Amino acid sequence: MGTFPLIVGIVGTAIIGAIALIVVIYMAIGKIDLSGIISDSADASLSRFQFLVFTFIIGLSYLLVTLVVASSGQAAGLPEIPANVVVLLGVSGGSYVLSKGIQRAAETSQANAAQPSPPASPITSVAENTTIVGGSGS
Amino acid sequence: MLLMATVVEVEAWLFIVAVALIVLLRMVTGHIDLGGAGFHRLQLLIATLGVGVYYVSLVAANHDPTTLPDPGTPAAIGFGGSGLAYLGTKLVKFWPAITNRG
Repeated sequence: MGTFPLIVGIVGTAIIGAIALIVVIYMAIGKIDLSGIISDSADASLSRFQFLVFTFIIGLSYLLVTLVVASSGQAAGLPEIPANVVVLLGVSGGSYVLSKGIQRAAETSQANAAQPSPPASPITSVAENTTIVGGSGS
Repeated sequence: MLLMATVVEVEAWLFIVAVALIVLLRMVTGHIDLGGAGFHRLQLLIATLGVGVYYVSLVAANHDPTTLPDPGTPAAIGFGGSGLAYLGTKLVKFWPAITNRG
């Protein structure tokens, strides 16, 4: 086992572990707001939560398999990803994108509907620009 | 390297279990609003955490270390169906606003 894969393994494990730890701590202390995750009226994004969970799980799993492969030295290259794993990631990512799209379309549509109609163009006539001089004669 | 693989496996377990516990605790303590809970959201949350725990357990029991474990077609279809149900309900809810009829 070379030194480089070992260093990459240590750095990868540390970085992903640190990010996962920060996310969990932020959820625990309420800095990542989960209050409206189930409520229909709230603005929290359940699809974003799902995307976060699956990104970490599949990312950690992939790192784990890569480290096992590297330690055994039985195969060259990156580990295979089964189609159903891609489906799981695709579903969570796709539902996040579609969910945001639906929400954004509704917001844009409502904002357009709420915009005041432009004022009618003023009617200008020659008489408005005419100055009448004189009249009293005194 | 094998030690690091063990560390990563522990990280994966800790992450999914901690997230599930935090969500559960926040529900119990009232920090997660259950007042207007929609079933489509609840089922997606359960599916997310359930499939997450299931997949980490598959990875832990993986006998072929050269590839990620296959969660199987039923799990993928079930998870996709759950996501579709969530999106479908959301689309129905937002449809009047999208078409300016709300």
